[in-house]
Amino acid sequence: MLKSKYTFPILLIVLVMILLASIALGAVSISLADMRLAIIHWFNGVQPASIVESVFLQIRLPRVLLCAITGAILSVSGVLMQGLFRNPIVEPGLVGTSAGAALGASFVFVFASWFGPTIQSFVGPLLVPMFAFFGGLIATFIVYQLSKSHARVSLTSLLLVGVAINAVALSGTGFMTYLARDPQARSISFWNLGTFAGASWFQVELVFLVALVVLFLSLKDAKKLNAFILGEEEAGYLGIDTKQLKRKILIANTAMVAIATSFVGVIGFMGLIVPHVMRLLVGSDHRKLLPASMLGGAALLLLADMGARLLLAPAEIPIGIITSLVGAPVYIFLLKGNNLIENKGGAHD
Amino acid sequence: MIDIQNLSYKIHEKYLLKNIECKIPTNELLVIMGANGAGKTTLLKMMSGLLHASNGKLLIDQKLIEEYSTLELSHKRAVLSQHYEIAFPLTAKEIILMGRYPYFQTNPSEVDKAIVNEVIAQMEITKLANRNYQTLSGGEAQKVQMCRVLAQMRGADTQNKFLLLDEPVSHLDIKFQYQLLEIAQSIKNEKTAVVAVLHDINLALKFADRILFMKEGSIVYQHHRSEKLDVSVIKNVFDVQASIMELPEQNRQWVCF
Repeated sequence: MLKSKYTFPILLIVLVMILLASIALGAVSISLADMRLAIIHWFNGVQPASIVESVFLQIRLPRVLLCAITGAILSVSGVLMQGLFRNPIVEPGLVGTSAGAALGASFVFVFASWFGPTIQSFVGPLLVPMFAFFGGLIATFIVYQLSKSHARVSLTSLLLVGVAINAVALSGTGFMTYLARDPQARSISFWNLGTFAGASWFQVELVFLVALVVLFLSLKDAKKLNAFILGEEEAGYLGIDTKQLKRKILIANTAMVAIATSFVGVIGFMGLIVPHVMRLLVGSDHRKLLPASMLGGAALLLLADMGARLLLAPAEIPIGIITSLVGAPVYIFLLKGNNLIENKGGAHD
Repeated sequence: MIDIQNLSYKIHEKYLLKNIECKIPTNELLVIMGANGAGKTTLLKMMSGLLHASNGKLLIDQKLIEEYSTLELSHKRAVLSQHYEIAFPLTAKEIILMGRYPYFQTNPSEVDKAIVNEVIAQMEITKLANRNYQTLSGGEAQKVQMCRVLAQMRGADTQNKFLLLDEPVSHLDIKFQYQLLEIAQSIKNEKTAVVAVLHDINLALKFADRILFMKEGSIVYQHHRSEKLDVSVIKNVFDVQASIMELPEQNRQWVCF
């Protein structure tokens, strides 16, 4: 394990550089001077002086921030789920959180008119995140309950139950697409592959708030998550209320992922790649792993989004395609490694 | 004192433990023996607070074990289990520090760190301290887990503590089998008792103050250090014909199979 006191400063510098690059590059390129000017104008309450400034404030900045925060959310979520299931190959896509959230959200897309103007004006833009949350929570809960036997989560049943629940959620989303009229259908299918094209400041604020709360809560429980690595019973012997910990993590994590998913769609494999790399960099202690994954996740998803915007410019590739393309090989690699560990474990008995 | 009164435990109408009566005072090293499936680990898990009695009572220092909170229990007893599988890379030292988790909130104090170093020296595993736990052999891993449990036993508080060991020497070489049990013997005092499940009758005869022999969920015989063990007990409990030799210079018996 390569651990250095410079890891965090380096991660932070890399993230800031990628952040600036993502803002600068795009259909309209924005220089550092433009950014500075726009921010000064905004602070003084002056209208943007040029189109470049408007693009920066209204389109590029919210998009880049939403992307960075979503990257952080998906990676932190990967760490939390892996800790909870005690397995390095678990991520929100695999255990049904994302697909369940997508089903919940697509339900709202299609049946929005059913809710009537009163409810709509009351919950307004929160309707989609709320349904995404319930969809994600139900799916995750089912996978967790069905895959554990005798307080242990078996990898094989986890994978198989995950596949089944994902299939159910996917067919549900497919059915919604079938019911939907054309514009709705297009938004569902594009969103199934992930996109940051519709980013708004409202979304940035909500996602930021949720991410902040969950990160704070999980850092407070970092020690407990560490003990969980030893096993559920062992964590209990060390004075940890494991039932409460599981419930807390499961709900907080699902809320965070579902809300992000409801805005940007399904982005796979982030929760797999980033924690894996960060474990190599800072080890498995959650007190370090959580913040490191947050920074690394933000940086990696920004890179992927730059790829999505620039590779086939002026057309845009859905970002989920890029993350899956990179993530799937990592997943297979981890799966192989996991088998080796299991075989070794068997030899001990 | 652990006070077990008429304790039974059943799942699916099958009794794993039946009418157990037993008192474990401090300053005792108690060894539990019995054939596979006799209920040794189940009894240990009841004392750990992991399983709850179907009938009867289990009191620790005159208080029902169910009335302790999870955190209170973690100050009262430490448990060494049989198997540990770890999915993520952690150093041996990080694992041992977990033994101090009941005693600090976010960051370990200097006392906690000092205790970790002490138990590492005590178990002679300084060389393993910074190794990845996943790369350790079965015996090395067992020593690390023992260190963690020893660290948990070192409380700043003055209450009685109980160390529960489930087959603590199963992966250890002969030297460390003796070393570990010598450590277990050395930590028992007016405030501390040790309960260990062992399979080796001769280790038990050497170190135990008292041996409980279990069969089919019940305690069938109790052997005290001062008494002589009879072959009929071995035959009854393990269904094996043994002979017993006297080792007068060590003032103990030796069982041959």
